[in-house]
Amino acid sequence: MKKKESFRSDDLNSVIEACLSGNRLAEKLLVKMYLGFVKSIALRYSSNNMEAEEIVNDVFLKLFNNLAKYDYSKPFQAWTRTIAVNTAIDYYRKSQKYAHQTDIDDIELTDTNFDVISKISAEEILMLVQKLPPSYRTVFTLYVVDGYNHREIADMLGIKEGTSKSNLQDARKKLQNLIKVYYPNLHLAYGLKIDKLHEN
Amino acid sequence: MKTEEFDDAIKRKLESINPAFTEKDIDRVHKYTVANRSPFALLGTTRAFWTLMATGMLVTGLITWKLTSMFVHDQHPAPIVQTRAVAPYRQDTKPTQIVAKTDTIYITKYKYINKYPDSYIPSQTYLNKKESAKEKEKIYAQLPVSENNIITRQLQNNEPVTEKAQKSDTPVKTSLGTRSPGVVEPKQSDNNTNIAETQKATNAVPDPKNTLVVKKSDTTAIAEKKEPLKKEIKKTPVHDYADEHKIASDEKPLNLNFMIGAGAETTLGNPQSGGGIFAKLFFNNKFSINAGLKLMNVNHQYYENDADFISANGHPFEWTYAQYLIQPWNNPKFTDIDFTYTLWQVPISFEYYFPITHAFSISASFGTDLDISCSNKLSYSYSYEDHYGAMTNPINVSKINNYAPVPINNAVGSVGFIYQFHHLVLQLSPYVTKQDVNVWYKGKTEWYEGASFKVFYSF
Repeated sequence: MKKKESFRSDDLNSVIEACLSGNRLAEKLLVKMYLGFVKSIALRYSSNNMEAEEIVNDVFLKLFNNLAKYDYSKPFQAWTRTIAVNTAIDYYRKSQKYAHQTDIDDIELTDTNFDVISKISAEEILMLVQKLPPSYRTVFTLYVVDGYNHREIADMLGIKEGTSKSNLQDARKKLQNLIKVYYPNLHLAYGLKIDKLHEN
Repeated sequence: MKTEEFDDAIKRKLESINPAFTEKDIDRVHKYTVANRSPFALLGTTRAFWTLMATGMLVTGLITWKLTSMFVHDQHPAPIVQTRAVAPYRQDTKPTQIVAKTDTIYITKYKYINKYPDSYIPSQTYLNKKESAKEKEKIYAQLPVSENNIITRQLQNNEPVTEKAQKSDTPVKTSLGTRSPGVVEPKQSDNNTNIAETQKATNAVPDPKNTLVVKKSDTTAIAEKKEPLKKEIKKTPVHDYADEHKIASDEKPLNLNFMIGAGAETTLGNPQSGGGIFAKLFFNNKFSINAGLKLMNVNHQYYENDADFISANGHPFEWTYAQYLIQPWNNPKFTDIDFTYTLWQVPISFEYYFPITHAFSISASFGTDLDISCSNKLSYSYSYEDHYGAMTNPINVSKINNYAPVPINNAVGSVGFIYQFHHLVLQLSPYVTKQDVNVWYKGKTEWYEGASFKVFYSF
């Protein structure tokens, strides 16, 4: 296959076509264009930065392996997002074999003021989400951020729909408690009663 | 705080994350993908690959079929034919007797009487409707003189059939092959009334109305009468005649032929022009699958200067094609910008033929042009301000860039006017192309009208 020697860096289709013809510069450019986007997805499905990087690597590997199947009539970013989410789910499934199941009986229903969340940075929220057990985090992110319904989540994760709903509810409670634990001053400042704190 | 609000707040926070990364991160990810990528990832999943694979397999299969059938016909020129001896006019319920001769070829060559619609219909009628009575007589005259042929002529002339002719046990060679005397070959005489049947062959009860009475005394007279003809026929071997007329068997060989040729084509309006080589593989006289390889120049663009380019494309020329020239101090000016896109295409189509006369036909075809390679020749001149603010002399640049084309992007329909002179075939085809997928290298035109002219050699 002939290598595409030049491409229009401002034209995504041109970059993709160059990637399809094996142009390494175009491939690097495509990685550069979507690395941040893919990593942001990977981070919210993973427990830490290392896990996220593994997911990112696999996402781009899948992306290049399947680039010829990309339908130009559809948004490339949406296609990339689907690959990223599916890759994260695959990673979750693999990691579940070795996961230590966290005891969830200590979760208690709490209330969190919207203003508290607004005062916390996105990176800090991400850190709290990453502290959720993988099963909670995955369901929570799929439902809340990526917009899947419980039926779809159940199919994707191989669990029952009720389990998905339960995990989502528990994830919310756990996240609210984490906010209280990590940001007690914010709660106090906004006049909220700090309930009994639970260790993560 | 309601659940939905909490979810929305978390979602907004998470979606706003834009993690920072360095060039090292990009290199790391890219190296990982290069090291672990499937070697067939880009090759095996492209539509072009599978289309070419399918086309190659189809063409290879058809060629193999063609060569095999040619070989088989050469090796077995005379297949065994079963001849049925059926009394077409019989009303009894006896089953039809099948006489199979494994070492003899029987060719039926006469028409049947119309008044017996249920009669046996020969698989290959030698004397077709178009042959005149004169032609029939000529063919009869060329038949070797034998008892059966005498019967033939007797029947033709409403003469009584001789017993000798009917009782002969020796297989008789006719112009169309060898015929057993024991097998009835019903035939049509000029007045469509006389039919001969041999009871020996059929075990049928002869119908007194239609059975011919054989007069032994007539045999010699008839033989003498036909003697001049007999001498004449002896000069022409039977097998030569059969070879000449290609009627050696009941089996109809597959009519599968090739045409190979070359041609050129051009479109109106936004010109696409080029030429190539083409081949046609016929399944029968009316249907063919066509393929070829052609080189086309498409979407030629010329801009006198950068202003023309901007007005046509909405952005400066150097943004896309000459970024390396953009420097804060040199303010380049571009002139004579010329783009020429060159495509290698594999046209594939199906064509159906409507014969008008012996030499002239009209055809209709439908197919597509597979784009397998695309390159762009870009040439332009530029000058820029030197350190003293003066413009330099124009510098000419010429580059050729290769692009990955979209393999299937159009549909082509055409009408062909075809004239054949011996092995030479000329075809003029006006055509219409519908651009199904808008590919950047062909421009934005959706419909193209054009014409092609091709010259083929028919094998």
